[in-house]
Amino acid sequence: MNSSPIKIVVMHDDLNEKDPLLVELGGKYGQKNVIFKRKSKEGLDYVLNNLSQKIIVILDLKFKANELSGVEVFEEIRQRTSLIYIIIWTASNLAEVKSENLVKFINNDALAFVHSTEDYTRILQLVEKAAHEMDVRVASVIEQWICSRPKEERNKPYIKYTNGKTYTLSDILNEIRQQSSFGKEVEKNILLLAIDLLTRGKETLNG
Amino acid sequence: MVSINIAYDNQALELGAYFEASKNDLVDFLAANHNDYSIHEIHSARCNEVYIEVRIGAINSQRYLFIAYSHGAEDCLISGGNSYVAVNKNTNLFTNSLFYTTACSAGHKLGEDLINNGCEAFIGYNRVVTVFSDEKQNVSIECDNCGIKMFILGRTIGDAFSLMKAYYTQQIDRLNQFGDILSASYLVANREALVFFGNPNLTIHDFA
Repeated sequence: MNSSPIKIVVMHDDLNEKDPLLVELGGKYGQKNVIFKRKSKEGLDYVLNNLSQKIIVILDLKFKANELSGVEVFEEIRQRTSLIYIIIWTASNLAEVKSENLVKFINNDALAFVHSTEDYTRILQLVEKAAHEMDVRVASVIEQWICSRPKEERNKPYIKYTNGKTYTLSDILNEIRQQSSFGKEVEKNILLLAIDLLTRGKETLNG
Repeated sequence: MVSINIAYDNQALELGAYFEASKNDLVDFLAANHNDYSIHEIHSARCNEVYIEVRIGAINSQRYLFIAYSHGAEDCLISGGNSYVAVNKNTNLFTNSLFYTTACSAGHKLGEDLINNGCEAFIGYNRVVTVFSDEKQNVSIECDNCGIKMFILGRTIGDAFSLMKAYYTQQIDRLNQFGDILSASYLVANREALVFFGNPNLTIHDFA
């Protein structure tokens, strides 16, 4: 199973392509892996159309009046998946953010909230942290494994619970992204497999 | 002559075909490997408490096998949304039985209650388990039926249980070797859900 590159989607309407953060990210992760969108809807569309990629989002909160707000983008992403890391990067002070929005960020696993006056190296550190966690997080590994399967294989009935429900690999992927109890059980099963193989002296995990 | 009673919920939505395929797999195995038995099939229409009371009540003065392929819960076996074997209802009927079921979760409470009510031995799963679809379905059936097949071949039920777990492990390694880690992981979970209660020294000859 090949490890695909991480995509960093920066949604911010006050930056330009020569911003030091974008230049640094491009240098470290590859220019083509840094997706810069000034318009929130374009950034959201990119994310939702590329869920099979490993994605880290750097998200401003305020966009122009006729565009989706950062909160709306955050919610849209979280409705589809819990596996994308989202860093809120904003000129708003924490006190200026509505409390119900803060609750949304906290309860839905926003990785960090960074004020734009902080040195941009803070963002770089957070991206590095998220990138590492993506590589070791079981859910992300399973996600990559399923996405590497041909589409027709992903849509065939794969397993049946003996309580009657049938799942395809695409269904399982969705459960993992939603971090449902079923999705978490899939993660747990993979860990059980790893422990089983390692304790029996079979160290190789193929695929 | 060994009395073998096989309940299978062939009318179950989603899994009726699987339950019937599991039953057929065992029946074919019996035909090939054992010739001193009588099989009584209990299909969906008969998987109810009334029929079970009549049928099991008529045979439970002697030892017999009871094998069940259906949905289950922690304290019962289920067909058509209703229990047909259940704690505090009819587990006392299963005196003298070897009770073998692939139903989800029945090993959690039903198994021990059967033993407490005179059942000689029980093999089942103590949580929700998964079966494979399509081309891997036979893997699930073979794993599910391995224990009872080993018993029919002459192993003690205790050894049959151990061999069933070993067979699961063999299939786990085979799937992993082909890179199907997700399927392998489900078999690990199923294997870890297997439970045995009762007398491990029973053999098929004790039921003749």
